[in-house]
Amino acid sequence: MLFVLSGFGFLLSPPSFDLVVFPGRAVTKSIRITNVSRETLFIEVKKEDFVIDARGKVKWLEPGVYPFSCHEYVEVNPLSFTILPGEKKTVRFTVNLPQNARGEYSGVLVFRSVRLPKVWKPTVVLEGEVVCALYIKAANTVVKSGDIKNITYEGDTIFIEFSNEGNCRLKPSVTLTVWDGPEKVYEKKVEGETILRHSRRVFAFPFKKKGRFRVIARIDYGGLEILEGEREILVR
Amino acid sequence: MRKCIFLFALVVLPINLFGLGRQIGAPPDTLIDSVQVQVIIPERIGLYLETDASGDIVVFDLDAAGYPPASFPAYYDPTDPATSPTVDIEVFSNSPTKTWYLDACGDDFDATYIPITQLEWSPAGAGSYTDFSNGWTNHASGSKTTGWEAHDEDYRFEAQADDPAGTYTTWVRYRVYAL
Repeated sequence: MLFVLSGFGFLLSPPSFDLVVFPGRAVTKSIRITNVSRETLFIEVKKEDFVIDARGKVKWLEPGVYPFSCHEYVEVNPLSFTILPGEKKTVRFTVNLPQNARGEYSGVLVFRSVRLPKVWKPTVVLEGEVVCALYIKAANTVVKSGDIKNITYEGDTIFIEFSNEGNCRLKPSVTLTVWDGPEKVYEKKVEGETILRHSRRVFAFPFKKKGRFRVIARIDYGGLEILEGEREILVR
Repeated sequence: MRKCIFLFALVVLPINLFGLGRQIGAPPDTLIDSVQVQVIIPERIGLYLETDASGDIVVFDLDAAGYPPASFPAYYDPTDPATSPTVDIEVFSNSPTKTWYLDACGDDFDATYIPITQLEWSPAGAGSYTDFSNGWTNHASGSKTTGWEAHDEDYRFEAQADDPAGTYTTWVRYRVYAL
């Protein structure tokens, strides 16, 4: 049961795909769009790439710019359509990875909805977009690998730099503990952050106590081993 | 004798037939069964935008608001809608593991004289305004929402001394995603 709202908006299901595909074998999946407004919407579907920088900021790119973009291997149909109030529609995409595909390829499908203004005046017109992320792995070619590159302390914050050295994205669980001799004085866990293949991420943990401490970073990235890094810091 | 047999049949047999006899004789048979119930809740993400402005567009009519101001820069609230919030924004995300993000960007009103940075936004009622920009900037983020979650915004326009007269239009784009 859906409530139909008086503005304009829509839902996508699912918000992302995590597919394992055998190169050379086409796989078709579908995305469900539901119009939750009282207006008929015109929806355009466009392909984009994205990268995530070391601080977690997402940068959107034209399709094919990211070296491991999936878009060369993805066909979408339809690319534009109208959807009536309360109506559900399906957009299908077909993935066909080449024989030499290795690891994971990613990108997004952006569903853009425009409601054209009824009158023309000096104005700000609103536009809404909902994104469906695609992560497509070539079967039997995925390698998970990661490394703790650095542990630093700067400006009341402990930074842990993690490098994804494999060929698929990772969502590591990062636990930081700080010890004052035998006493644990700080513990925090961060998880669920996406790190694309061959990229780095810096995890920041605010820490304001003064003294000499032993910092231990523990990272479970889903690989064979759990990484552990240790460093002594002096906070004045 | 026949009467006794008849009475026996009348009293004892029905008791046996209707189960009382079981308590006396064989151990009770218990049949336990269950019904499996499955509920499938699809993972969904959604964005909803609404403005109370007539024609569904936000208008800054500087003539109606008193222009020119005594000094520049001067800040003007929208004339339509005239009340907060300028835009109702709602986000839906029911993923238990993914963080959702609401980003926004805009096109310049006029590339030479009126860039998009002259349009500012604030969380509704907060009065802490930030420039819009051509590039995507984050306006809100969070984990699983409880139904549709409101992230309403107010707008204001920053009038500069060199703004040429004219009628200008721009697009403000909102994007929601959970990577």
